[in-house]
Amino acid sequence: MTTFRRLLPLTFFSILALIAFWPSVPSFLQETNFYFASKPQIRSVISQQNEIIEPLIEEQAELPNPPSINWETKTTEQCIKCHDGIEVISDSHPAEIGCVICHGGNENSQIKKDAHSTLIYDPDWGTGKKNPSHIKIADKSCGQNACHYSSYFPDQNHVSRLKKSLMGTLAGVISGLRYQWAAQVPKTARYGVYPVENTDFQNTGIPFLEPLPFFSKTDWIRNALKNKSALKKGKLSRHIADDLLRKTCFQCHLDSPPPPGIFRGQGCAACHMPYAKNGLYSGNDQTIDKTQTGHAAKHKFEALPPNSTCITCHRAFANEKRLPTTNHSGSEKNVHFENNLFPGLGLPLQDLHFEKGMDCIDCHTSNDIMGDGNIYSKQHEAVEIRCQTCHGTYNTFPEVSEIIDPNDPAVIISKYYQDGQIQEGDILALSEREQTLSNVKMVDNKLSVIGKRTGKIFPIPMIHKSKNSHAIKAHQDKLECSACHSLWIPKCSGCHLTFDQKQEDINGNSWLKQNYQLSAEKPILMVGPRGKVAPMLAQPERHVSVFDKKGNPVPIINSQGDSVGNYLEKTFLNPEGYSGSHLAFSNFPHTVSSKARSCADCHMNPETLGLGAGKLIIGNNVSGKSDKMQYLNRISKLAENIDTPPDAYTTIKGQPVAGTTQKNTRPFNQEEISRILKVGNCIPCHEKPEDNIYDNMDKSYKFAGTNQHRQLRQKILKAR
Amino acid sequence: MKPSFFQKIILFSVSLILIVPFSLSFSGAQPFNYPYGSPFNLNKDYFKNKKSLLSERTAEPSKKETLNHSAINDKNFINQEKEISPKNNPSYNSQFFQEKRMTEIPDSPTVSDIDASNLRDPLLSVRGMDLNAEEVLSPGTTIDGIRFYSSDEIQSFVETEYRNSNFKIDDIYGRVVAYDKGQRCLTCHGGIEEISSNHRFSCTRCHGGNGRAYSKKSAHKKMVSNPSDLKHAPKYCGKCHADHINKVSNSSMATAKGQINLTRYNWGAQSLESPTFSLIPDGEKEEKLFPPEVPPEGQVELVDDFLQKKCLRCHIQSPSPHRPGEYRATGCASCHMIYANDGLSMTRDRAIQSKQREKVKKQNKPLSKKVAAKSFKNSRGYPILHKFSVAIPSSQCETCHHESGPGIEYEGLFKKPAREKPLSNSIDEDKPILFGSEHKFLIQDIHRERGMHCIDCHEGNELKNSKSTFPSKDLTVNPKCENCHGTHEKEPSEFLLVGSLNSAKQIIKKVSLNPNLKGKIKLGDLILRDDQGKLHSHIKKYKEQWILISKVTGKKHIIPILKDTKEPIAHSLKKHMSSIECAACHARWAYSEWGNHIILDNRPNLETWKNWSFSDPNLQQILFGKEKAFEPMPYINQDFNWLTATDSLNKISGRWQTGVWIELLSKASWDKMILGKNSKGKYSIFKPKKQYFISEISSQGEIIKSAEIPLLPDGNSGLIMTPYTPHTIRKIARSCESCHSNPETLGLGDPKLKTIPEAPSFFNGLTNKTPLPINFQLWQTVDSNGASLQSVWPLGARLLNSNDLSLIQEKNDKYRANRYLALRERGFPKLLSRDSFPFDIKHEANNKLYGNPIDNESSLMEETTQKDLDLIMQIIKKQEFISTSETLEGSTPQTIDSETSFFETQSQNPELSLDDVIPSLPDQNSQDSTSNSATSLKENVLPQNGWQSLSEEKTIEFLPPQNSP
Repeated sequence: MTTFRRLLPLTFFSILALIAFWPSVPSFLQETNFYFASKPQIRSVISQQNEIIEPLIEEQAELPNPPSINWETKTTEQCIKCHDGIEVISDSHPAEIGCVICHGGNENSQIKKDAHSTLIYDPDWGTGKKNPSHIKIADKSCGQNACHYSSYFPDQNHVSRLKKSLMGTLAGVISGLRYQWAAQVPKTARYGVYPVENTDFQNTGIPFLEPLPFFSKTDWIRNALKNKSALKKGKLSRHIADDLLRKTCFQCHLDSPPPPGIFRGQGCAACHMPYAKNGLYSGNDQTIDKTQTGHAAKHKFEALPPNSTCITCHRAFANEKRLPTTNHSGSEKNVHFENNLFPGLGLPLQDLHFEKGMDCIDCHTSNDIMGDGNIYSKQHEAVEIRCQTCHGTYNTFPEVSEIIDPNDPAVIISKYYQDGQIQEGDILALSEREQTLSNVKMVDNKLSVIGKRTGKIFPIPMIHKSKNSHAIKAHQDKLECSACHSLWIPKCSGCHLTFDQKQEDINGNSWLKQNYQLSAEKPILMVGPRGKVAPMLAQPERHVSVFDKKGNPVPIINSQGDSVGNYLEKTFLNPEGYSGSHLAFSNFPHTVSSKARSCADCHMNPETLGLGAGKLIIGNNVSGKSDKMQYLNRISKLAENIDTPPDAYTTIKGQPVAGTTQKNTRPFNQEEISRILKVGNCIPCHEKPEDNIYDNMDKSYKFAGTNQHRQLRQKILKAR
Repeated sequence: MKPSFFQKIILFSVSLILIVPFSLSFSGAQPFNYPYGSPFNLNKDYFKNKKSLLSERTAEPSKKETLNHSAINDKNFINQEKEISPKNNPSYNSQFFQEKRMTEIPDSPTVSDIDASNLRDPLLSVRGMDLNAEEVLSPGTTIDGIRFYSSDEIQSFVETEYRNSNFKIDDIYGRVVAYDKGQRCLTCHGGIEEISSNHRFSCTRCHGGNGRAYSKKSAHKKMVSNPSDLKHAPKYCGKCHADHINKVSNSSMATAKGQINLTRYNWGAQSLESPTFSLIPDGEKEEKLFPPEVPPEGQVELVDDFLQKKCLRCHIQSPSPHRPGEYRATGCASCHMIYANDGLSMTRDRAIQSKQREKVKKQNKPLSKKVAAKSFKNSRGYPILHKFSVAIPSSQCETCHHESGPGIEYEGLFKKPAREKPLSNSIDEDKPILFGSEHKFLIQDIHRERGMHCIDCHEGNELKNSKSTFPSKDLTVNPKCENCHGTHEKEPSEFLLVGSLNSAKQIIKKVSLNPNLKGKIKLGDLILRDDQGKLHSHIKKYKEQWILISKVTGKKHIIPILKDTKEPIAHSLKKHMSSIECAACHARWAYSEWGNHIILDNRPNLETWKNWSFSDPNLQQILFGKEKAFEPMPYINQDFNWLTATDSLNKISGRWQTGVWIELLSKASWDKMILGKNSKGKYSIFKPKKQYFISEISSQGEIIKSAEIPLLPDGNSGLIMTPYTPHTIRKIARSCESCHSNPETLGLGDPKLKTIPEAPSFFNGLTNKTPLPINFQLWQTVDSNGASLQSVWPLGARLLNSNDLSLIQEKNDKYRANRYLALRERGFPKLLSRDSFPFDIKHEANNKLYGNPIDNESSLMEETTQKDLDLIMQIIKKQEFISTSETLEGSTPQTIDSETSFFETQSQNPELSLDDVIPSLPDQNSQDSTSNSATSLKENVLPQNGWQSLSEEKTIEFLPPQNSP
């Protein structure tokens, strides 16, 4: 009661105030999102920041609304008069529907300029070739008429899914670099290549992404003049990471032009329009110059992209024939010895699945690749398949479900497959997110993968109750499969990024070309984002140099305006306080082999634990205080008087050295290092993983101290 | 002629007009704008200067000045208040101007140069706004228990490391006596050191010349600057030291017999039976001089060409390139005259001092790449002092022995192979380099770390050994570990120096020459006598301890004797002790050069190799030297013949011959230590000796050979492995697994790569000259059946066979037991008792203490204003305006895209661009427009400083490739 009395005047005044300011309340509530409680509060933020000013130049046409198109009566397109002989794009987009519905343009004109005046394409990326499937404008072409956008079936919304996928937003790359170089504090993604918002936000993933801020005003002006169609205010971060991202990393974005010498499309076409290796057109359209590079091989969609399409971008991890030794331009110049400038370097072993004849898309579902409608900040969040999805675990078989609905997405998508169309009653495997895998089904009572492009049947070996180290309980709980089964991982040692304004190119890109040397290394292990031990993609020693036009290193100026060093070979520090130039990234190397690495490889080898090359010295002190590593590499000892060399990711005392950009990911700590090495004591005698001492390690350690074990050990020792 | 009063007035007024604006602008005062235009009737250059001044100021801010970035940015960005009077601009006279006048003309919208004000301190979000950045950046700073390092200052540390030779002048020379008498030679050379206490002669007795002359020219007539050069040595040194001269002339360091004959054998040019070649032939054995004669021009055998141009740089008679690390003399002096890495002398000789002063002036960074690249044109180095020494430090040996082996390993240097590097020149040119290349720093040999030098193990007579290395089985140098360390059964054997013995007298005499041993070894001492009966004068037994007195530093090192130490598990195995070389386990790393692809290019387009970090002096000279003699740059096709080299004060001269050799290593590794059996039948580490891949391009540019492996005379492959002792010895040996369960060590190849399953088919492929199988890895030496894939040198050594493979890989109970014991020795069982992990707890506590970093990103961001946006709109509108006005004039009716047309107009009417300072952006859409010309591209650079861009308009021309020089 007393509280009520105390609150009474307050309530009174607030009611008074409410009445007084009534007209402004709804808008106030709206701004602070009390009003639409059900909607997340992002919408207003976005609209404020990206206040779009009317485009100055009409670059693309607004398509007529769906009801006005009646393609059964629409037969008088003039396009074909010039584009005689052009291929029909696909069976599901027959010639009858015409060109204009997808491409825009004036169908009644035969004058090129006039007919092309209202074509749909994205002028911002400037990749040309009037491609209507650019992500930004795909909703006007591919997405119109509820075809691939706002469809009744949610998984048919390809355009909106793709827009939010990682290949579209590049959120992982952006957040990774920005975090490591201390441009942003959280590890979660904040920025994308373009602004995007998840309207059907379901608490998985991130609600929205802002556009990447510009590095400098110069950069913003450049961009504004280039992308006149969407002139808007920009944020300036003045952080060098944003320039690097925009000028170099965006090259791998779905919408961007490919690097010189490599040919691919943009948007949907990046995957679904195969390009010839030389980038030449080989179809029958008379208007397309067959000597000019940059055209798709044919005006034809391919529902199931081949591996070569994926590898155009995902090169480093693909099973390339040979590890690249110099950069692309380097080998081009030395045409004479293109393949044997450095002879005898060998050929890395291929992934088992690849060797057997499986394609990228046989494992990776459409949800994996095109996104599932959520915005994610890291790749591992987006991918829905795991090894156990198909192979099961030691204790369980893979999850499966029966198809009941004839309109199930799996049934629809499987009509493009070479063989193995899904029918009602088929039993399919389920992914981590309970989605059916349309090509993993029971064939003759055996779960098998059916090659989407080949129709080949691959029976899946199950690891249920298999012997080997799968039976070890600790391994089941704490290891990703790839920790043991990945043979190698590419390592790029010592990137040196140089921003030299003397050598600025015509696009305003001052970042010099990188020469990298990749080598196949045994994976180092770390704790992955799912809390399990996973291989590490190690990228040590990355330096940045920034020079002005005269070639002098640019000074670093702090907020007080004082000079505090310069950008001659700068290394960074991430917000956690670990090295930002020294990345430990948990990764799944696609170099799987049926043969796992040996027990000693992890349990007796400090290098695998991320301690660096050198010799481990275990001290007498119980706390581990006197443990140390005698490192092979002594550069940092000499140059900076620091004990840890560039190839160490953590110290023997469990202090991380390298930074990580994924959440919950870290190199091993002291406890883990000592727990892993502890097992090394048993390995000399109990070398087989099936040995039942590994069932319960605590019990075994206790037994190891007993007299009985000592006697057993003595017996063996006597034999020497 | 005196200027008249009238002229003076004119001069004064003109100078006033000229000087005042500049003096104002450079006075450092805060820049300001005149709201109604300039009172001095300035043109735009004034503002340009002001801007450049601003950017200068921001680039080098003083500590006291606090810069307001946003203000500067705004001013740099736009001076909107200013309106430029059209009268000042000549271009406004055109008719076009009449229409143009209506529009407001914006100033240059951009600063194209990114300077400090455009960059944020990268650590702001880490340290917050208040903390001093220096605290974060300085090495050794701890954040959350983690040490952070900045590599900004690596360079100076590394240079100190290169410079540091780790010896003292006193130790090496003993007492230094300087001549300062009034003799003739010393008039100029006053202050020069006495060469040694045993050589108290007049200068002319050793150097020749005329000691009584008055001028430099006549005094130096017939003078020999280095009398110990083997050409002159018999005449001068040989008077007393004939036996030594004889020995040296026959040693492989002078004759280069090993190099010449083995390489020729490797390339199939000579067999084991054929007579051998030598640079200094020994008449009795009828050895040939190499080469029989140097042909003036024309064809030599490929291998001889290679030897002359590359390998034969490294014998004591050839002058070495004048570059960091390699300054040395020839003949006896190449060892006994000590040079510093930077070739700078400490002599008090006034003549030398004055010469050197010039050099120091020219090269302010004597170890930089810039200096190293001019190894033919640099003046030669001078020895540290004009003194002979027998206390020769390691750095002196490494002037030659840095190539592919022990020298750099011993120092802990790992030579980086030649690779393409697009580093900015400003970083690259100043990088400290030694022997022509950059190095990584790895762990040193324990003997080096303790302060021992090469000659403490390798003794003089051994180095002057005249034994032939071809085709004999023996190695010339062969100190053994057990000579000093003994075995677990036996101590090293001792020898009592008794005065009556001749050998003892010799030892005492020898000892007296070395300032570090003199007086420390006396008659009655017990010294070391090795298993071959050789006496080691600097190792003695004293109070039950074996002590090595370093010949270079005089420091006493107590030798750990195996018999006194507890026998480690690995040593307790008899097989280990009897059949493995110590270094096979105790070597920490081995510098191995895998696959040497050598390309003889008779018409090299050196543009393609421009960014490669070659260590070869000739290539460096051509690629980085920028010498006029080597122009025209892109097509120099001459390489230096080292056999004809003569060294003069300022250059190395000799014959240049057609055809440049380019050497590329496939891989340089430190972690691959492959086992084989040496000629003594012991397991030893093998390294690639010669893995040549030969390519040849004719002067017409045709490929004659493409990465061919040479074949030995017996038809085997020319990929040669050789047993070898890595000079990276440490106490902690390699782990049991690294041999017993590591296929790579056994030569079976890297398990991550594909391997050659069967050796015979591989060999067939090689002999048929088909290209090397793509799945061949250079470090696979045997197949799984134990058949070898590569050849071995010397004869008698071999790679592992099937027997060895199964023996090493077999794991029986004995192995298990020993493996366990070895682990116990290394302290692994100690881990079992660990149950608390205090460092993890500390780490978590720190995390809590520091909390999450503050997310202050939004406060660090800046936003563009409406003003900026309006400006862009103006530019775009104007752009359109120009294009439309152009069409109105009718000069170019077919303007299609707004931007393309803008550029066209700009290039046609350069006056127009004065008004439109617009960042030029190439329209990528224009890929399909035909306006793009392929041969030349007008580069429309962002206007650097407003109007300047017009005058500096660059054209990049893509020249069609030229075919012949």
